[in-house]
Amino acid sequence: MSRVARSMAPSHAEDVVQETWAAVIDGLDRFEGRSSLKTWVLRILSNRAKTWIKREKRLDLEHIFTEEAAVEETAVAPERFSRIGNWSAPPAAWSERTPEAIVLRMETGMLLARVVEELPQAQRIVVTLRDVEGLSSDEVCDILGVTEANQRVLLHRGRSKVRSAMERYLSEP
Amino acid sequence: MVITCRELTELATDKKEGVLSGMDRLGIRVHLSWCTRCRTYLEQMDLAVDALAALPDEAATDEVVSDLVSRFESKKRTPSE
Repeated sequence: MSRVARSMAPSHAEDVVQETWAAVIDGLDRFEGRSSLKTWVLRILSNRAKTWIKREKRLDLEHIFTEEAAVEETAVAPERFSRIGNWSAPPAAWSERTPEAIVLRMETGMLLARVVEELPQAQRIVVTLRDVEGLSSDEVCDILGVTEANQRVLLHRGRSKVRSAMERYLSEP
Repeated sequence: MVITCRELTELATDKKEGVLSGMDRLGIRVHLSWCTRCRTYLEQMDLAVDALAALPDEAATDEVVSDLVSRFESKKRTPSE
């Protein structure tokens, strides 16, 4: 919960978590099991975080998503391709080839967690909910109130950055 | 339908999400049949996603836990209407 809160509203994560717990405890009797408990809790958390974001930035989350998705950005640095679009600096093999070994190698995940924290806001939120927390694309769009297309563009850029950060730690010389 | 390496890196997530057009799906399949570099790239994208899922959970701090316990107890004392 605090991980998701930090991804959405880093400077008010504690407030968001506290408000969410209070709302969850108050509303538990009304939980009808139409979604999983996890998505229900995260929807409450997302609403609290949105309020903080709006208070702080005077912008709706949806607006932030649309703006960030509209920025031109490539998955891989353009200089790694030739003029006709073939690899000129192809990806090197990695020293670790299982997720567990990678996490261990990246200081038991601390470095990896930092990579996520340093993503731009909307990418960070999508990567945290989709990949770290394991929610589906439908759940994420529903919880955040963003379009599937924007969600997918931001997921793509976020994941591409995570891969390229891992490359720095794991590429064999 | 020829797909370059550069184009393939931009289609990686659409492929994983299962939202490729028929043309792109075919183009990628043909491309991967000869391009080991892009096969490596897609494997690394998959590994990146799987590693994110393998991040250890964060334990709740003592403060959060004791705060929760006291909230639950005060709720028990004043059952909701």
